[in-house]
Order: sequence, then structure tokens, then C-alpha cells
Amino acid sequence: MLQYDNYFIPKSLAEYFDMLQEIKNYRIVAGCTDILPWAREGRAGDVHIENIIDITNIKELDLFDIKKEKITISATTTFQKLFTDPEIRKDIKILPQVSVWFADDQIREQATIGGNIVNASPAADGAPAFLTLNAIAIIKGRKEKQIYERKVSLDKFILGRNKVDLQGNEILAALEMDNTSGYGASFEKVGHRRSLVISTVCVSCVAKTDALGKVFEDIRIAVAGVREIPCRLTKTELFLKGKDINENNILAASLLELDVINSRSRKEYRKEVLQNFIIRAIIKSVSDRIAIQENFFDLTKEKQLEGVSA
Amino acid sequence: MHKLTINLEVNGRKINKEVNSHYRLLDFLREDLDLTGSKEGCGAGECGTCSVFVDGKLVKSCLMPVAKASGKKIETIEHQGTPDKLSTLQKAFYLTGASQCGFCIPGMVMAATSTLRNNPNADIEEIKEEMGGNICRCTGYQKIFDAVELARDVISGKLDPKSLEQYSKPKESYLGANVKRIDAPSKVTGRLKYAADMKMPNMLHMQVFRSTRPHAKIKKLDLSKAKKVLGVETIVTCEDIPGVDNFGVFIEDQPVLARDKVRYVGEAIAAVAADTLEAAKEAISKIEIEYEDLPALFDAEEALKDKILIHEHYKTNLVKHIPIRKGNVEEGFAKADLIVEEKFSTQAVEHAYLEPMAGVGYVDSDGTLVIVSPSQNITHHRHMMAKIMNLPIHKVRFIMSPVGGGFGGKEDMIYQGMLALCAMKTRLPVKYVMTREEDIISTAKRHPSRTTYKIGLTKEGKITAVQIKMIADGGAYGCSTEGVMRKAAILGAGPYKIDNLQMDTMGVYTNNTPSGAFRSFGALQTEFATESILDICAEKLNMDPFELRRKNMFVAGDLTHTKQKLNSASIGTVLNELESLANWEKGAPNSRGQIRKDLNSKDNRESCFLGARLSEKSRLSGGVK
Repeated sequence: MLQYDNYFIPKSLAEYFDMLQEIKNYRIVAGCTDILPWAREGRAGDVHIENIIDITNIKELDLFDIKKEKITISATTTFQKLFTDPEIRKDIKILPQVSVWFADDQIREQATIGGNIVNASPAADGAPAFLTLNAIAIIKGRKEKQIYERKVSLDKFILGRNKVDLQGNEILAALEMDNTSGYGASFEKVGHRRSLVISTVCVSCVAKTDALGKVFEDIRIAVAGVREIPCRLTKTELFLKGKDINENNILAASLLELDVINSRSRKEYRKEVLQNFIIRAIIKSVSDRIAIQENFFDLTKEKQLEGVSA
Repeated sequence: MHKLTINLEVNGRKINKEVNSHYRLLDFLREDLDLTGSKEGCGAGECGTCSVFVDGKLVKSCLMPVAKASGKKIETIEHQGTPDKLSTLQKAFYLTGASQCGFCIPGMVMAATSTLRNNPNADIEEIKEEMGGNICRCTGYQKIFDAVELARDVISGKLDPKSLEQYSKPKESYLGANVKRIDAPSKVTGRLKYAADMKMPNMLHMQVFRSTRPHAKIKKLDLSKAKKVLGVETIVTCEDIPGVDNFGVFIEDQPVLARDKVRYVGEAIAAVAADTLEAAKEAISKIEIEYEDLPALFDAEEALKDKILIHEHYKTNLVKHIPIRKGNVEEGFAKADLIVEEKFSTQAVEHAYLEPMAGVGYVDSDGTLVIVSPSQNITHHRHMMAKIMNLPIHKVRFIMSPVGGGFGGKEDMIYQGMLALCAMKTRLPVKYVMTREEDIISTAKRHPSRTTYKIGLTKEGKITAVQIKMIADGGAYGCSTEGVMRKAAILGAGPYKIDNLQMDTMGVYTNNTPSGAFRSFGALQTEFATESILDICAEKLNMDPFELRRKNMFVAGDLTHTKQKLNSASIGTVLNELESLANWEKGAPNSRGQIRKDLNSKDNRESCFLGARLSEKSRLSGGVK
């Protein structure tokens, strides 16, 4: 059971920073979908925190700006917003894709993208999707009564399990990401069940082809659930860029970076799943760009297994 | 306790109230407003029994601090309809029989309402996807999905509203007739009160101090600091038992509260009753204990060696051995063309009823002890309780509250004794509600098992002999182990004519969580082995698995494994039905190549997927909002 004495909901950044100066023993929350299950038997148990500071009503954090090149959305944006917003669904397809795999409709109404990143879980579903959009963390802090802003790319912002690059009174305010209009996208995830499940392996992929749909013009792949920090598969991306979209290239690419797996358990299983997910994510993310012939990817099981051991 | 003031609207009613600061929206609805239609099945956002609308968006109220709800409009199940004036969806749930235990149903109705509000034309895959956050343990979901599709078609005008009243009048038999389920209106509207929903004046809240050790002597139990916590009325231990302290379904070997030693992690040691849940929890955190750890047993086969005893006075860890002998297995195996030997194991399984254990105990004006709980076994509980509390049987009354799912898990009298002690000591009503985690660690599970199997068959597929030995992990206490071993022995070899059978089932004490009753009660573990080995034999004999079973199945006139003569046998009919419904592709199990032809055929469900609402079809039909 989570017990606290006060629940503060600051309305502006100034009020928020003032609060941090005055109050000791606090926890900062947004959607609360992680902290409440955390304070239960088997995890943190009964927890008492004097003060809770809820950042979801800070007016400066209310940002939802979709531009042609970049989108800037606040850290307090919910995953359900990413699932339902028509512009996002049209142009940044990876976001509704990852959202549909994220918890369930009801939790997505509360859970925020900022919370997902700042918690820095190795199994965070949001992180690999944001990485494929070249996300940049926009951080706000206050020094000597001056509110300042700094930007760090997301791959540098996440430092480790439950560790991010926030110093002093800093807060993750927003994410700036690429608008991937014209890109296909695919999010692959496996866990013990379909809804409400922690990823054992997840892969995010966005890709763009040439006008004829024959060549990978741009492709970005990121993984989570298999290592401490979610990461991009840069060697794989580099290998595919400019290459023809065919079975041999995709199979060869799928083998390049399976050594990113550094999980505590079930490594062999994760390796097999990861390779299959990479193949599937690549194909799905270009599938509406190319005329896929039947049996485009007729990998026999033997072939895949050989691939893993190679 | 710290308070804060909230202003909000609940079901159209404006409310300005001082509430406990740390309350979740769910606590506020249930405790302060008595809107108990929203249930707490897990408290961790996993089950959806607490789903409510906040400003029109469906959320899990166990994941929302009440402070967040201030200024918002809340809509709960109580706003959806009343038993005499059901909403369209509630009528559909009623008709399809979607409410069984009913505990998930208020949340399900809310999730269905949200789904159809978001897209009145949602197709079945969209419905499944959007309701993915709500769990049901009884129905297998089909009846719930049928109800939502039915309601959708009535709302959109495709179906006449009268179709929501189409109950059949049973003519000769109730079998197969869709009769009205009389408790359904109270369930679909969230009006039915389960034990955790009950409240009485001056009611106390009970919490339990549990063992963190699998096997240990209790050297010292110090309650002095706990007793000083403001609001604590009593703390009970085994010392407070007035009568004979033991209970169990078959063997009465379990104390209400651990006596001298603990035998599993999660065993109850002391119970606190206080005027608030928070005070009871605080007192629990102040109980001090010293253990002397004993070597523990976690493996049933190891336990059978009796090197360490879990119940010293029994001189053995064997709870029950059930042997069955029929014919002569040596002769049977001698006649076999094929002999297959295999080992099978099954694990512990949690019942996962949606309603965590809960109960209320009080002493009536005439001194009668009353226990209200979702017990699956109240008459036996009453007799055991009279003995434990040293009361004449007419001074003990058990009331069975609606059972929010049991599946055998609510047969054990695991917490009612503690409620009785607290109620008798304080003479005040006492309520206890387990958290999901507490329920999982402390209540009985399905017996984990290891089965050694030997079967002999002729090359035509006739079984000549079967030898089965199952060792089951009974955990720390007897519970239903004896009965489970009996059923495992009697039924385990399956509905097949076996002239030569040697069957042994053994239940064993270990320091694991106790094992108890669970659906199919013993038959599952051994029958899993039987049916698996028959498939292996079918492959080795190059024979269709249905054919192999038909060659051996019971027919009228056969003798069962315990030599009872059968007047009728239905296995043949069952096999035929199953084969046709599955569109079974005939042949030996290893004859099918890479893709089975019966996959995705009519009546066979496709595998689950996500993303139905990302499709173009979904967008055109109304999509997401």
C-alpha cells in the first residue's frame, strides 16, 4: 500500500521549482501507473512517502506540436493520445503501433511517455520506438531563479536501469522526434500474454523505400527487453541502407547484431525470437511500399536455425 | 491520517468531501461512497474489476490517486442501469449468461460500454482488443463477446430490442435450455454484495502477520510494540484458541495460527484487528519475531525419505498412498508388442479466482458466532469452527457470501478461524480482505506432480497393461490431498479398458505452499500423463490418435479400474463430437508435414493478434476516439 501525507499538483514550472525548494522527502509522479503497483507486497511492500508531486497539470508541459520535419510532444502525453491522434496515426505510424502493445486502453489513458522513459526500465516499450524516431529529450531546470532548457539525444539520456541524465531539480519536459511521414513502421513484442505484459523481447522498426519500392532508402531498428539499455541496431541499419529489398539482404542483416542481447535469463530463446522479430519488423515496415509476391520470404525453419548458429 | 479535500462529480452528483490523502479513486468510491460495484481484484491494474469513467475515459480506479480525480466527472457501474431497468449491454450480458461468478462483470460491462461508445460499429476483433484490460476467470470470454456483439447490433438497429428477451422455456429438460439466471441482474449492475463489499457499524479491519520462513521454530513472538499502535483492538495468536486447534478438508492437521513452528512461507502467525486498515497494517509492521530455521523440504521425492519430518507426530511425510491393483501387469506387458515408458510432471497452479479471499465475522446478540465468507464448504467449516472455538454447534453460523470464483480454492477454512477469534475477543464485527499477493502466497494450489508411466500395447493398438506411479507435492498441510490422491488413482488411467493395471498415487508433505482442491481434482495430473502417452503411442504405432482411443475406450458392460460395472459409457460420443468439431485431419500425429490442414478451419479460432483498430477497415467503421 502506498501512503503519503500530501499530494501536490503544481500548475506552472515556477510553482514546481518553488515546491522542490521547500519540500523534502518527495516523489515526482505523472500517470501513477507504475508507482501504485510498485508499492505492494513482493516489490517495495508498504511504502510511506511524505509528499507526492504530480506534474501532469504543469501548463508549460502541455505541448503537442506536429510539424513537417519534427514533432514536439510533452513528457506528460499519454500513450492513448499517441494511439488515437489522427495526425500521429497518419504520419508517425510507429507510435500507434507501439501504443497498441503498451499495457491496455485504460492504463494508456494515464500512462505518460515521460514516465516510461524516466523509469528507464530495460523492458520499456516506448524507448525503442522513440529511438527509431531519433528522439531528443528536452530537459528543463532552474538555476538562480532562471529556468533553462537543455537537449540530450534519447540514447544518451538513458544511462542504465532506472537511471537517466537528470541533474538537480531538472525535469523531462518533452520529446522532440522526427516526423516520419512516408515511412512504414512495425513494432514486434512478445511476453507471457497479449495485453498488460512486460516485454521479453521487443523490436521497433521504421523504414522508407525509394519511389519504386526496390531499395531501402532509410531504415532504423531498435530493440528492448534483451539488455539493460534499449538501443539502435546501427550496423544492421548501415548494412541495409541503399541495398535491394530482398530475402538474402534481410536474412544477412538479421544476423549482424544478435550479440546486443545481454539479459539475465533465457538468452538462447531471446536470440531466436530477436532474429525472427528483426526479419518480421523489416518486412512489415516496407510491406505497404513494395509489391510483395507470395512467398516473398519463404524461410524454412532449418534456414533460420542455421542462421542463429552461424 | 492526512486528509485532503476534493470536489468532483460522481454519477451526476456533486461531491465536496474530505478524504484520506493516500486514497486511490477506488478506495474513495468503495469506502467513502459505498459504491461497491467497482471491485478490487488485484490492486495493480491487471484485472479491470475496478474500471470507471473519468471525464468520459475508462481508467482503472486502482491506479488513480483520488487527488487526481478532483475536478473530474466520474461515472461508475452504478450509473449504467438498475436491476429493474437494465442498460442494453446489461440485458445482453443477462441473456447470454455472461455473468457467472459475477466479480469481473461490473468492470466488463464498463469496458464494453466504453468500447461501444468509442465505436458503435466495432467488429469482434476490435471488441476483443479494446476489452483486453479486463480479465474473466469463469466464462472463457465467449459469452461476454457474444453479449457485446448482440448489444452492438441492437444499438445500431440491426436487431430488434426484443431479441434481448429471448429466453427459452424448458420443455422436458433444463439441459441445453437458455434459462434466466436469477442472480444476473444484481451482478451486471454491480449491486450484489460480496464479502469485501460488506460494512457493519463499528467494524474492525483485520490484517495478518505471516511467516517469511519455509520451516522454522518460533523462538520468540513480541507483540508489545504492535499492541501500542493507536486503534488496535486485539492481536490474536494460537494461544487464544479455546478449543481443539486444527482444520483441513480430509485430514485436520492445520492450526488457525502457527503453533510453535511454521511450515511454509506465508503461514499465518498472528492477526491484528484495528479500527482502520492502516492501523492494522502499522501494527503488523511492529510485530517482532525470532525464528530458529530448520532444514526444509521442497521436493516431494526427497520428502518421502523421511529424513526431516514436517509434522513430527505423524512420524512420516507421506500424507496418503492410494494403490489400485487389477489383473496382472507382468503378464500384460509380456503380451505387448510395444512398451513405452515416460515421465511427466505438472507444476503448482493458482486458482486465480477474481475475488480475493474475504470475510466478515461478528457475534450476534444471542452470542452466536457468525462468519460470512465465500466458502465452498460451509457445513464442514461450521463443524470445524465449533470444535476450534469450543462452542456448541448451534452457536456457530456460517453464511455463504456470493463466491467470486472458487475453482476449489475456497474449500479450505484458511482465514475464517482468525476472524472468529478477533470477533469473539472484541465482540465487534471484523472484516478481512486479502490482497491478491497475500492470496497467492498463502492459499492452496493445484498439486505439483511427477508421474512415472509404463504402457504396453499390441501392434493393433490394444492396451495390454498400464503401470502408473504419481508422487504429488501436498505442501505443508493436508488440505484436500487425500481426496486428490483418491481421484487421481481412480480416474488417472483414463476412460479406457485396461485389464492389467497397477496404479499408485502418493501425496507428500513438503515445506511448499499447501496444495488443495482444484477443478478436476486429481484427475488432471494423471490424465495429462495418460493422454500424452497415448499420443506418443499413436505416433509409434503409426495410428490416428482418435482411432487408438476408440480401440480402447470403455463401452457399456466394461469394468472400471476399480471394477465397477458400467451401465453406460459416453466416451465414444465425446470422441465423435470432438473429431467433427475440430475438423480433425486424420492420420498419425507425425504424418502431417509442416502445416496442419485443420488449422484455422471453421469453428477453430484464429490466434490472437493486436492492431485491429489500426486497420483501414476499422477507421472507416468509426475507428478510435
